[in-house]
Amino acid sequence: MRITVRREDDYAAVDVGGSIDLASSPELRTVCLGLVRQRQDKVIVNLADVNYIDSSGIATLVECLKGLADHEGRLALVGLGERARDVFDVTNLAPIFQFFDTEETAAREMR
Amino acid sequence: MAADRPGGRGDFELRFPSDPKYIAVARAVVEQAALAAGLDDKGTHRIVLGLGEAISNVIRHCYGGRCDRELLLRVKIEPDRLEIQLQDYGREVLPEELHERYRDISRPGGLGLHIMHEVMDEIDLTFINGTGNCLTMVKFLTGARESRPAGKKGTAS
Repeated sequence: MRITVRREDDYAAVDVGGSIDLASSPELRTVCLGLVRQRQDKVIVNLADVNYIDSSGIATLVECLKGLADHEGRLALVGLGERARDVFDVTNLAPIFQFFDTEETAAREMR
Repeated sequence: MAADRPGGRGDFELRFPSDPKYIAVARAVVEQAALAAGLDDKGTHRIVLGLGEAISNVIRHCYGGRCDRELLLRVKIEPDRLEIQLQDYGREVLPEELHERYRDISRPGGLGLHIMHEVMDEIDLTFINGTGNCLTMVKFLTGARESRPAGKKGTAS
């Protein structure tokens, strides 16, 4: 898994690539919960280059979503491919997330 | 790992360590087997997902996160089904544990089991004294599913 954090003017963007599974989700969790602890109010996670995500990755994003919501922050997921999106559908957790095609759209909608 | 394909059949075995970094290796084997069995991209991904969740559960719950144990993966391609067996050598998993499902996002820990039940047509668990658990997951292939006897999805023995 590859993961980088970018600080934009009014949000933090997390670019993730590769596989998010039991081996790699702890790193994603560390990054996401770090942003929660910093009380970042808008976080955009770019999953365009993610080819696999399992329940540990979904659980990490749920934890991030809830952590951000605790201080009225928001999480947006962008660029999901069919496989990644399917996992959210299988778990019935798609309705609790906000999905956008692009980071620009997500940033605009979160203003 | 050996392949034998008379009439579209194939049998594969992979023995691998319980280190999470090797889950991807097992996923790759099953992905290729599912494609060879004729599943489409979505069906293949779902099989791979189910296997990944099963392995993760073994590592976390049977092996307590230890990376130095072993798992044995068996994949069997039949004309009407793809059968995946995962053998571990850890503590016994009770059938009722296999049926634990997550209820809401306040407890996402049961997500893996939920996924396994959603993506597979049959799940069966047996414990072999002195050995460990053997999880069998079956996906019926297109056309065979409609002709199979009606039964409860996700049975466990």
